[in-house]
Amino acid sequence: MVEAQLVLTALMGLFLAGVAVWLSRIEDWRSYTPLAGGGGAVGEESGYAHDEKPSGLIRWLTTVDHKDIGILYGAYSIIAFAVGGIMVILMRTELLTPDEAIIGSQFYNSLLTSHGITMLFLFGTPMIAAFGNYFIPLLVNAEDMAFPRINAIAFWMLPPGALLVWAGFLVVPFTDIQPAQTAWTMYTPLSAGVGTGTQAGVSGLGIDFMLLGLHFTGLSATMGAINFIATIFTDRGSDVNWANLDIFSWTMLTQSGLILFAFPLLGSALIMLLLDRNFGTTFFLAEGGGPILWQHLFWFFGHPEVYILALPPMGLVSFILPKFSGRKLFGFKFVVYSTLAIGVLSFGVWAHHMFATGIDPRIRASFEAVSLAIAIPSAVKVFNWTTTLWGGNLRLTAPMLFCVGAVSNFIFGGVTGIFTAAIPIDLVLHDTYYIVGHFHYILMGLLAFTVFAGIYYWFPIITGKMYQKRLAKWHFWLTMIGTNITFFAMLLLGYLGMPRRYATYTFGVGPQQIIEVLHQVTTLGAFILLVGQIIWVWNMIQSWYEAPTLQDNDPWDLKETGQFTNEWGWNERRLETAITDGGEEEETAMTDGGDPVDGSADTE
Amino acid sequence: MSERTFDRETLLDLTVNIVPLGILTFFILVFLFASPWELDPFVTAISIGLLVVPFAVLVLVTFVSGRAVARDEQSATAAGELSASDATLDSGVEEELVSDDHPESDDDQSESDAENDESSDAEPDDAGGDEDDEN
Repeated sequence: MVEAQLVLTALMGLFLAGVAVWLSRIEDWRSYTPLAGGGGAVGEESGYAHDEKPSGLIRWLTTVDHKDIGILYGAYSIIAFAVGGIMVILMRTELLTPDEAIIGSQFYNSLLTSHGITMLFLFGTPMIAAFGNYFIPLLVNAEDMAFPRINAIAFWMLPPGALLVWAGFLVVPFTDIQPAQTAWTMYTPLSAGVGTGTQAGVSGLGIDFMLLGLHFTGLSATMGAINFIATIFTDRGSDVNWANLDIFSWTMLTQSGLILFAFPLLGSALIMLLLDRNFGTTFFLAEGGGPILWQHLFWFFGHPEVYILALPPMGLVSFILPKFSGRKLFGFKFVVYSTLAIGVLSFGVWAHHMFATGIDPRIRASFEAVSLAIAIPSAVKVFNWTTTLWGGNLRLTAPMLFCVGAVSNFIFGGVTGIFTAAIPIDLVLHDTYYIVGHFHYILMGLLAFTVFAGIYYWFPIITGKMYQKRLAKWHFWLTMIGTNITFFAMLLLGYLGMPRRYATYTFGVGPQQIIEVLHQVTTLGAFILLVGQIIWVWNMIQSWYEAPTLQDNDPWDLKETGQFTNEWGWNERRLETAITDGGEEEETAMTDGGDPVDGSADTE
Repeated sequence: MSERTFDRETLLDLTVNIVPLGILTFFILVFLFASPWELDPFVTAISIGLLVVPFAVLVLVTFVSGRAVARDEQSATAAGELSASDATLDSGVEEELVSDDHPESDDDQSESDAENDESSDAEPDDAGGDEDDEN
């Protein structure tokens, strides 16, 4: 019986592979280039869209320009980052004392759930899409994204998604509906509404809202991924080929491939969970498919999601770090191939999140093996970055500082991850703060750091201005110190056995006092991070509005080291065009706000 | 074809993915020949499949991407040779590609110097100069 099922599965796999091969042989997919066709339905207007953009709010509501959509993605993500950050500040404040003192445990659970979902789905993924939208077409010399309108739709699915994810908080003052309290993993049977707690019945509608919101964000990510793949494959300029495609585009391409296979599966699993909750199906109930089925489906999406959030940041480091090292990226192709290796292997490690669930030890062993194997391509990148720095002419500008900080944090996050790939160690550390510390070293230490690096690096292109150097340094050092205080203390808490997700820690056993101190240290780190991010937001907004317009299109002196890449070339052409179009009024406006920038001013 | 596409340099680049493939091979052999559990066809098929499928897909992706990169590299180099006397964009690409070849195999100092002298990154500097302006 079981063997027959295996044979059937193998036959179906072969059939699907055959279909894929057949499709690839009968059709030349590169012929689908609407931009090259002239008069195509999409993309054609992007060349002159800038001149005809409506003004004010209507511009932002109707735009299909990849740069505008990139800015929309960025603004949306930063708002989500702020919301998620405020949530965690409330949680860390509660954890200053072992008792339930400031916010209730139910509210804590709700914040915990929304913090995770917000940071991963509403900040991380869209923020990467922001960079991708703005810069991929520029880097590959495309006129716009392959499908500009789909690009706009993909973005506009996100705000309703966010409202639904946060809906529980918005309606709780007026109704009996509670925000979801399932943690971001939404493990069944809790999330399936079993029992009589706050997650079932009317009060559990917050979960339904959240699941629908997640579905929106998943659709958005999938449409965006298809767009990136189509753009890089079919719309790149004639001078950009696979041999000289930049490293950020490579990582975005790989990430988009991961999204394409991972997010639809999450969407399907979410629908099944909604059916279980509302229509009496038993996909994830003990009498049906079982709670472990949810974990398999969720983590088959969830682990690639980790790399969806990590690969483009790795690409940003690989892209930006050489610019301030005065030399090219060491072993460029090693980084490309290791990126692809990570992409493939990321689908083969999902059950290392489930070592403690009691699955067959022989199956666990296989997942351990692949988890160990995936460490190699990740480590290769670290060596490439280090070697690029080695002997280079380093310039410690804000983007460079954030890149170096990201490499440092990634080593912490990566090495702590290797340990948990080993089953015996994982069984001890599972569900402790060690895991929380480990993945925050990746998500905050790598993802957020590279986001900051990217924003600082491309700030002159996006705004035509330069940020304030001193504030940027403050931002970096507060973020670096805050990150390491917060998450290193979490690693120690994990070693002491502190379980994650708890609103209180009045155990009565164990080293209670040390745990309390470490929690307070963690909270101190979180507040340092908060101060750093407030400085950053202030710097961005004030610099955008009040900084003098940059006269120099090469603020990083990239031409000196031969690293003046396509997006800066595009910006140079844009500025030249603007000067010829602008006339005297433009000149006057450009000097408004201060003296011309030079190297000795308070800006970089 | 494959002999020309996968030359020594390309194979050297691909070694980065051979290491995880080697780890997977090691575990496949261990689980097949040194397993402490008795052989159960179903579980063995699943557990070995969990290693073989990523192995096969990684081989495939490495092969396809390596071939695509090597082919474009060769065609760009050929184009660069044709137009080298005019010092056009393509010759820049050629220089970059030549310089990008395996700094790992050179000694550190000469590589560093060469890279600092080069006038290009992963992307050609002046690439797109002949493209339509975005605006």
